[in-house]
Amino acid sequence: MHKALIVEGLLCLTLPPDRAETIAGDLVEESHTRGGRWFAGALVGVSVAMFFHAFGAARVRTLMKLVLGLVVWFTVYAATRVGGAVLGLQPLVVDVRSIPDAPFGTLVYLGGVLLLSNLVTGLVLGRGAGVGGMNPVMPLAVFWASAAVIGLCADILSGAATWYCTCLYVFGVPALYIAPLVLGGVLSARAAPSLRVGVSR
Amino acid sequence: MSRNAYLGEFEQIVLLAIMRLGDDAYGVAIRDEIQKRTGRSTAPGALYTTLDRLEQKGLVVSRLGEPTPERGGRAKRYYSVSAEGIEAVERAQRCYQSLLDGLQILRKKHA
Repeated sequence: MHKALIVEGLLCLTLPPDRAETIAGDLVEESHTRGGRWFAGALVGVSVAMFFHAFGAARVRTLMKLVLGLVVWFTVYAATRVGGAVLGLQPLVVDVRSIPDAPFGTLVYLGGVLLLSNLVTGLVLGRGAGVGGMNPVMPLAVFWASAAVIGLCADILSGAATWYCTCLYVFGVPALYIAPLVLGGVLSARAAPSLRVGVSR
Repeated sequence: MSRNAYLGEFEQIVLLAIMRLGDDAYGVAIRDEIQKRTGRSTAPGALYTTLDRLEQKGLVVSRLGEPTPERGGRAKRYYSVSAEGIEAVERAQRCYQSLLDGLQILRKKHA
């Protein structure tokens, strides 16, 4: 039961709720014979396939959601950074190379700003209808994930990788960007009026 | 006629599997039927995107069944091929047959 609940919750990010329910049921049913590794692979495969399926069907709308997400995120991020600088909580400009030497309070503030910016962005975007039934935060979540992978690869290939940048790409982006964004999107979508139509039992 | 009546190979396979299964055509059964009949292992993501596309084209229709315990209390989505879907499969088969007609190389192989 818990397995199905988790799968359905994850699939709801890329699918309308009624589709997520039936596909989650299919995957849980097959996992009894095929095992846990197949189940995990199938879940990732279905999520990725459905995201690109929805993106292919409505490229312009997906890109507009992404741009809107970036605008909301930057607005909240800039406001909290400037606010923090005005209140003397942290410097307005932080050099990436000086991050290891930055005071602990500054690091906590910067992390909090990123977390808050993404949570608020998720809450704002989650109110709107998604593309092809996917949660509206997904284009931005995929953008953050892609940026992290590209940034990490670029750092490694250029030989300029540092431990703190690597930590940011590997742990920081999932924890401070993607998780709060998706959480905000899910909470907001659940609070919004249900759009389930055309379902017959 | 549907918006995009031309069918890809996998779309035809899925439509034919649904027709063969009759009233029991849902995700797991369709994948099993394709595996059994063609020996082709289908990724779940490929099947669900194809079913979604076929439904958008109006070639299949779906309905929800009852939730069952072995599925974690989740319902099955049963698919059936619409009249347009049957017509699209027939048209695709006629196209194949027309291309095959008179091909000597295939006749020798099957002789």
